[in-house]
Amino acid sequence: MATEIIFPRVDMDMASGRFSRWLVEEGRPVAKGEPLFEIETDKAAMEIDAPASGILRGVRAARGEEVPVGAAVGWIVSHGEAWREPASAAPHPEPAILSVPEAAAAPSEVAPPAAVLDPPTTLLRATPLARREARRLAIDLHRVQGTGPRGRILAADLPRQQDATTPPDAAAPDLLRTGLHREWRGQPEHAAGLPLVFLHGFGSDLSGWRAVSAGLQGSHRLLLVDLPGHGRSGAAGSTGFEDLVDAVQAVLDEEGVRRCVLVGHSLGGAVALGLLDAGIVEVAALCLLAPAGLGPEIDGSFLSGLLRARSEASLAPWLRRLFADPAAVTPAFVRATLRGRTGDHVACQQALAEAVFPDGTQGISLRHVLGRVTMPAKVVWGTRDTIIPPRHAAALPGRIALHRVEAGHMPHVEAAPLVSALIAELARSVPA
Amino acid sequence: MDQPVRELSYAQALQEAMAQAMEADDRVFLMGEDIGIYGGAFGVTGDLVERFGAERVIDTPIAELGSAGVAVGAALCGSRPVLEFQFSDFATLAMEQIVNQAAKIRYMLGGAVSVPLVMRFPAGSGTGAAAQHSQSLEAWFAHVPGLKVVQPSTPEDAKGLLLSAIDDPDPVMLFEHKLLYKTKGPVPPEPYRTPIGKALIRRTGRDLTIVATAIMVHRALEAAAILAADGIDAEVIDLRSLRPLDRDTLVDSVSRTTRLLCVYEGVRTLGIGAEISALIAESEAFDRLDAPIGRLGGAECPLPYNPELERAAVPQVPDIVDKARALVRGTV
Repeated sequence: MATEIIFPRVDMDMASGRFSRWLVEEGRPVAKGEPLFEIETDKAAMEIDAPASGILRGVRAARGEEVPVGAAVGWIVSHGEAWREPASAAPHPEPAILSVPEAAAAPSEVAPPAAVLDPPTTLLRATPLARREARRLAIDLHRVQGTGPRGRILAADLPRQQDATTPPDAAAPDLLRTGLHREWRGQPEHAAGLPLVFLHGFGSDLSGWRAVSAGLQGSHRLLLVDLPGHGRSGAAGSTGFEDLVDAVQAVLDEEGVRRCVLVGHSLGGAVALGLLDAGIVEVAALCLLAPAGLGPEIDGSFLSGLLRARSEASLAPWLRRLFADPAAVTPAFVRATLRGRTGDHVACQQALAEAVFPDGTQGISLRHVLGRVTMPAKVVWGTRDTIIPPRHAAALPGRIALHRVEAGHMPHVEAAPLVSALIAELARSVPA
Repeated sequence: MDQPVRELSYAQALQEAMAQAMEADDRVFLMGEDIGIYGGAFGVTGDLVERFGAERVIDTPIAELGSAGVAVGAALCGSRPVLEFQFSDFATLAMEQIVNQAAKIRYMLGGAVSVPLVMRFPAGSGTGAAAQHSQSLEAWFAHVPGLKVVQPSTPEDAKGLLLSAIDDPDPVMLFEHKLLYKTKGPVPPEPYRTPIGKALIRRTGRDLTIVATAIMVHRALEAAAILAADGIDAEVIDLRSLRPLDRDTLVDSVSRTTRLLCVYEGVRTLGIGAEISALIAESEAFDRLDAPIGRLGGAECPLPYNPELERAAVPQVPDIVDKARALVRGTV
């Protein structure tokens, strides 16, 4: 199967760029992640990595040529695969990975060598103490987002250990049962209180709740879950929406959570509605942040760009779309995001995207579940969200409060203190 | 009933140490420029010439190399000379005797003799004495095996370290910060010894270790009080002795606090902070570090005469507060 080599968007406001030169000759082998060609923007020259392993074929961009963003500049074909130039040579208006069913590739395709699935080898910055603690606790530092300068990982950035925070009645987490990673936060003295369960969005992980949970863990017990194929959860199995809901319900069963406040962002918001719909866990209150499942639109190019990105240069522009202020996306954030993704995770997320958001459309509709919202509930939406349009919050049932906040798609990051306060208010409104 | 605590100035404490040493041991005598009837440029020797006579409190000519040579010779012959330099900057004039003779004779003669010499140096800036009378050159001498280098920061340590230095069989250099001479503190009246080579934790803390010398100890303590209001709990170590260095106290402290800031008045580059930083980086405290090591030292220039510039050229309390905050909050 041939993989298109797309001229990337490396800057928010670029429509085209200058192709500088190939770094690999046509007909020569190239490994995924190796520098493949150079481009120039107004600001800088940049190396672009190969999106796949194979042989470079059909190069159609030459030195000095101005190329539109999204255009194919060549192809990478598998070793031994016959090469025939595709008929369509028109530039893609927007690269859309979801129409390229890579995960559905024929089983006869030769598997790439294991090495190309390794996470990108970016420089890891961590203090000596963080490294020592990570060794002691068997934590993979590539999965930790550093808060120090240039993304340096400090000892305080390591995931909190279970000892002080595990509620006394909770069983030790058994990853083998569900494969889902979860972390309890908060103080043991709140163990009897109603837990707040947090479900992150597509392509994120539980570390995205850092800012919001910081404002809540002094007074509540929080359960943060990594969805399948995200964060430190395994990539195996579940790819459909129902599988997601079942997997999270299984975590709640394992953790002894029968009643809780559910907080979900984006895809996690849809999962929260799915849990409510399934009716197993008792949802005492519900907080949905820019939830999926309330309308057909979603930024498909964001999904495909995110999944396609293999380098900091190609990932950063897509991450910037999440925020009202693109400056919120620091190089450290980009690095940490890239570092957190293994080949397995990306493949799993691709399958998930195809199942839940086929062809850049929301294939799940949970609007009917809103009629079952009888508990205190809030929907929070950034007025400048370009990933899922805020108008999906129009015509909510009257008993659901809508909070329109000055933010993009990430209100829990962009307006963390407010979102913390809203969740706390919601939790207060239900009896423990 | 408790006796009221007796307080002396730093200069008085040094004088008391010399007086008690001379009373106890006839071999002890003092040399230096203007230390007799004038009482010393900073008044440290005071009226000692009246109490012990001009034979034991000897005014020297303005000839540091010659005086140092006489002192080394006297020490080799069994005396216990205490040589005062009028300013530590003038140690440059006596380099040959200090570095090539005093520091090396015991080694060169296979231990057959030793040089029980004490040299006292008024040091540091803050008095408007300009570039040739304000330096902190202690790290130069701490680089030389065969010399011991101490920097008391309180009257109590000034007396205790000077008495230890006089007892010591080898050359010991005392760097006395000029701004400290008039500071007062409790000083036990009896003779006592403060061990050479032992640092002292002046304030315990959990969040970072500030290692400071001489006047910087006081600035670090002041900074620690400000930091405490911010919820930052700084440990302050008074290094007291540059050679030998108290490795164990430093390593143990940094292992607990996970952060290190060195504060010293000598020029920052290649100064004592470099040695402490390297010592920690090489030690078992290395993988307890949760922030880069910080150093605050003197500016890379001759000390200015202008008082504002002079202040700006050495670490002040706000500098220490800012740097410590940055280290603890993970912004550097």
